[in-house]
Amino acid sequence: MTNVNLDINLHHITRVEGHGNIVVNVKDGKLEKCQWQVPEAPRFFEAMVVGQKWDVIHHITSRICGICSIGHTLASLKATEAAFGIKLTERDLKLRRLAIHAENLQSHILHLGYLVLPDLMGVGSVIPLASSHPAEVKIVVGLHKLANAMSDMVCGRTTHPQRLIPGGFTKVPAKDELKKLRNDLAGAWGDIETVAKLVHTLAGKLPNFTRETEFIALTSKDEYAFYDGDIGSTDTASAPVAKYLEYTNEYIVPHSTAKYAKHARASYMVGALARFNKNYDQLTGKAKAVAAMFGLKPVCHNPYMNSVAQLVEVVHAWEDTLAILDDLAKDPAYDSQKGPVSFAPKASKGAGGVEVPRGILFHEYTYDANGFCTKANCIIPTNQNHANIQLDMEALVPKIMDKPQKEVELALEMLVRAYDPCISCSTHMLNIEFKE
Amino acid sequence: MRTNSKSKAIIGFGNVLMGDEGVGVRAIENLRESKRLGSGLRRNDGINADLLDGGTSGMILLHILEKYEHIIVIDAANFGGRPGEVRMFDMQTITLTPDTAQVSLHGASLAGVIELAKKLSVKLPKITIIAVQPETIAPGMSLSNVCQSAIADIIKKCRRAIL
Repeated sequence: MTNVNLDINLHHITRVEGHGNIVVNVKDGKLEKCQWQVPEAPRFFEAMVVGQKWDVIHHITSRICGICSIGHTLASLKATEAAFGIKLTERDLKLRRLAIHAENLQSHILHLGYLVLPDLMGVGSVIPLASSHPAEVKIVVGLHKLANAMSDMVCGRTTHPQRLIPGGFTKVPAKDELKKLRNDLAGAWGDIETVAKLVHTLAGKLPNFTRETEFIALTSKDEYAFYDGDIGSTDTASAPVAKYLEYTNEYIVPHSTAKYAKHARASYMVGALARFNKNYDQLTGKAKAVAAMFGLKPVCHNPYMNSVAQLVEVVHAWEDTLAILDDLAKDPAYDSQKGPVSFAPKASKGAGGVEVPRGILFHEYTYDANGFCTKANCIIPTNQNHANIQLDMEALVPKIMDKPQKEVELALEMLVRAYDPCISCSTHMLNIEFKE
Repeated sequence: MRTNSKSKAIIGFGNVLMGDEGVGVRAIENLRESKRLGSGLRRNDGINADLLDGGTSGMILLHILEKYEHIIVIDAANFGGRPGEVRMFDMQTITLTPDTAQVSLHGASLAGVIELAKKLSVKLPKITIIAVQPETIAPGMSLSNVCQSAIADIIKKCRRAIL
């Protein structure tokens, strides 16, 4: 491979949220430069919530991201609730779990259907896929719409939730609404199976690449953790969410304005594959069956399988949602709770962690005696994955550098897309030109 | 987001944490407040429009296209105007060139959503775009003075669009 030369400079990787660049230089078979560059705007969320009162902070943080708005709301609420010592009712904890399932369903279906399938089918985007496979794309759109309807019912909106507040909800779905949701979801199993089978027929196109790493995810003895739990690692013992800084250990690298993170090794991975690897035993039966169909077993160190782990989680979220809805239907006291639990703000500090589609998300706030935020911290999953992407690229390029440059580029782009990074949801302004 | 089978909807997109980028959402907030105060787009004015806050989730649009006969989209847009300038376009008269979100479809890529809808044979409603040329897109929860002043013009154009 001594005469291998590559000059890869991929700016603004397509089908990821925000801007990320891949720069690779190979000269005479020697890897001279390999960088995952993330020109992310400086973080400003923390500064925006400082000085704000406890009752508006979750509304502000819900605007950080259009995909993870429920997750940012829940992490924010949990931080505030931890600070003020608020304990939710069993009913509201179940509804919160429905909210996080709705978001994971929304995002995973969107990522798999609109962003991963085009890679596996060798087309540039979902647009040509809609021409070649309209029936399958319509199924994806239908499932996405159903997940949006679920979010709408529980959170009051498909995105940027309104009903979730510290201590509970302003309004909860009526029991007959929950019944309708259950019927709609139960009727969607055939569509989920169709998507699973479609991905399975194409899974051979996922690169077979492994690099051992650490996986970090919420973990709980009670459930496959999305909403609550301790911070778990495949390398070390677990710890309460309040100790998140001992896990994230953020640091700065010269080629990226986004911070990197590391824990027991040089990098770690968060997201669906991390959750799968850490909490496999608690998946539902159908989710385990789908994992088995793909031969996916813990601990899997192939990052490209994150997309398959997302599919497994779609099935888990679907099945667990049905179980939660059945529990709520049987609850005779469902309608007796008339609002959020009461509490009093106090000078305090609290951290909240939830599993959003891309991995573990932390918010932490310090409040003064009047309930105004004096300090805030927010660590998003994508930033926790950057170092792992970088080290994956460094390990992958020498293995594939003798392939045609286009193939190397696609493998690297697919690697980044497998992490489903959300680099920046900050802006989306339209560009308009007038027709001549 | 609450939607129903009403024939017309006004939907504002944008990130309210990024200054003028959130002008579409701010306009919806203003329209809702007008409605609450009884001075705006009330149904008993004979104007049948749902007011929707699309935030930064553009794919929502795909799911509501078939629900309405006419959708008015309010958004910050770069059309070469002066900051705070408001222009109203019929979708058929303009070309949406690639923007930052168009590459992903996670965000509000209007052109991408319309293209996808066409491929899936979704019946498209009439789409009117009310575009606002931003002055400042940077972290901050307030609109610039020029975009704040533009809200009245946006509302005026909404009235004209749905009448």
